[in-house]
Amino acid sequence: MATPRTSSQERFAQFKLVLLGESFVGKSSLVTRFVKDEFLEQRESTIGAAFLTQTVSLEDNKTVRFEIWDTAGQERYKSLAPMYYRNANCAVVVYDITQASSLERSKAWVKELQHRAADGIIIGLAGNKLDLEDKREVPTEEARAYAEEAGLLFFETSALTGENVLELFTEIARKVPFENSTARPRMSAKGVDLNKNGGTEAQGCNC
Amino acid sequence: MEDGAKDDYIKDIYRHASPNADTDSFLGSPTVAIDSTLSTSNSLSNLNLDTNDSSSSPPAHNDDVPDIAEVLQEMLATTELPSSTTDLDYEPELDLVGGHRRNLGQLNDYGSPRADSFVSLDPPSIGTEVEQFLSKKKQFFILSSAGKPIYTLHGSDDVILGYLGVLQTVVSAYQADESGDNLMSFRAGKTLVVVAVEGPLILAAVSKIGESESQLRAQLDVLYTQILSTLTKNQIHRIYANQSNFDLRNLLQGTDVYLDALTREIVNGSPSILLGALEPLILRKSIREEIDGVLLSCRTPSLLYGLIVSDSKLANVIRPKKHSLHPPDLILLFSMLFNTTSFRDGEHWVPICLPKFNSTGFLYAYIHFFSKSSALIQISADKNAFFELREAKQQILSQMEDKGLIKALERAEERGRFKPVDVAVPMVRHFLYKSRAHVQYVMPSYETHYYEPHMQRGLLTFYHQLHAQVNSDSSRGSNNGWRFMHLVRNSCIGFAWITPSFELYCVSGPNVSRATLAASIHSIAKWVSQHRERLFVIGGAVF
Repeated sequence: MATPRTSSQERFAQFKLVLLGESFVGKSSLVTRFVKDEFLEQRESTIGAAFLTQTVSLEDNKTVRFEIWDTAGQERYKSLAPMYYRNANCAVVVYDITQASSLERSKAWVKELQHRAADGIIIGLAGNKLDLEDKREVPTEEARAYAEEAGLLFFETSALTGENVLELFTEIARKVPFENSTARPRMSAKGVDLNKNGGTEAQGCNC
Repeated sequence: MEDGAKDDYIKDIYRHASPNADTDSFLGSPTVAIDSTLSTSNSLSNLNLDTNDSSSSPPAHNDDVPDIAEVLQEMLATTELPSSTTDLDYEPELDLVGGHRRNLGQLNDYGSPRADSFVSLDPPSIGTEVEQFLSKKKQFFILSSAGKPIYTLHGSDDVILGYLGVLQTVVSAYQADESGDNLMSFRAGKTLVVVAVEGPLILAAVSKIGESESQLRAQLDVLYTQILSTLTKNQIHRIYANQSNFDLRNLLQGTDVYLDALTREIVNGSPSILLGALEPLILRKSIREEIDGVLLSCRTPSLLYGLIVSDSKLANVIRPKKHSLHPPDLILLFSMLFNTTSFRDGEHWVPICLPKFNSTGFLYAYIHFFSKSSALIQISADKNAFFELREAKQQILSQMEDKGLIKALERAEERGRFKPVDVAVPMVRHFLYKSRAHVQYVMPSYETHYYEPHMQRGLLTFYHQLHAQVNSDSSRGSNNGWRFMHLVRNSCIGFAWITPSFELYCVSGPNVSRATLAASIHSIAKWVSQHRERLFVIGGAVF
């Protein structure tokens, strides 16, 4: 539910967002640019997942707070992904414009999200590393055509320069219906599915 | 090689019935000194390197095995390599290159792209890269039993693949002779090679800096623990049961930084890894108890362990009555947190196997750095517990803030270790004190005598020697666990005192009498005992 503030027209909503994509396409770098407006030249691979939050202000006095799961791209974490996208309102699937194979991996993620994530999930496709134009392998038009066909928002981004990063997240914030917003953080904490995979515990391997 | 027994190249080949035997049981193991007369080239061909699958090749004759071992360690021990103009004088080396390539042929059959790129280097160049590799004083190799590289400290694939092939062949030759033995270690001059076979993985450490076999074995165990923490023992066994030539690097992708961090610590002489113990944060007893109280009061149902760690030093731990935490697991976890930048921002939810707790399954760690160098770690068996633990974190931090405990932690961290003068033993420059009951160690700061990094490194090397000597087979007598060692060098004197409750290693300047040192060592033990509640995390808070 949207949780409108009491004051006149101000509206506040909180969305859960998950980042998916192959390893080394720059998911963590995109989030770091969005959340802290920083870029680390040497970044270590994410293991498991990192959880971050960031707020964006929209027109009409709307404020959106993102709760972001920045997931690890490695194959060994694949089986954990449903845990992160299960309750997500929106997702950013990232590929690297200099690696054609990473777009193929993105398509698989999109398919999985469309089949298994919540209905109405807003998916953005981000072709990252736009600053490496001279090494481009994925033509913009090809990716855009795919995105349109699959019903995705589409941006080419550069976490290094910051190009289109805020635009990507802002556009997603505009597209997610306010009614779909998760309730207050405290409530959402309880809302995480504790039953679906209950009892797997230490056996819940991520092979 | 007739005078091999006097020669540096004489080898002791240790063979052992149990692959996991600890050093204690080493006492009874047979030691075979081999005097080899075969040339290295012969020994290579004896090993059937050119068959398609050396691991399934017929068992090598026992008589030949030592020669292969000799070849391998000669390769590892050699620092001077033939220049290209003297190739003919170094036939054995050239033949090794041949072995190299044949072995690569196998790897190639398994479809490794890296092997592909290597084969095109024909012949493999013996140049500066190899020289650099061979000049390293310390090496670690992790490979699969099919000879596939998993991790190496030094050397690119081009350089190491041949060595790994030989190593794998030697190890499998021992396994193939039906005695159920595994190769444990061998020595060439000052170079010691220690091998650990862990299921489908082979780990090897090569040291030219005088570490003991048990020290190197402990180091290998730390690296193996890291690999298990990512994949679990079950997964590794399952993977190789399905596909014996699997390239494990695919699955370990991204974890090199953690293995690198551990090997860096090992190479730097980490006292924590030497002693297999944690360093606690020195904290007033009342502060530690207050923090324990906060952690306990905010505990949620899914919590298994809760820890607060400052700059790799354990400040607090809460745990269930039934379970204790295992220092090797924590050494690993702390190294991941504090020797890399991965976790510095935000909150993290990480599946991790703590192998000494349970090597077959995953736990989930909630990790959050609440200051520049202090982290809260909450470990749960429930993979869906993130938000529950996140909420607990918010309560823990706000309570700690209210009670001034975060500031107290910061102050403790700033104060750091105690100073040698605090202990009032003026002749002692530095010491390591390990409480065996708590599996924790304390030491004074390096300042005064060891402010330069190279001095610290020298000190730690000396501790390794002292530790090796006092824990060597010959000094492990009956004495009910009491041992004593006095080691005199030109520049310093070392003193080790092992009792059932503690291990104490101390270093003084030269020309200090034994009596003075003995008195000092008693003072240290007494001082530590008096301050134990401030120095150590005693048991942690139990729920």
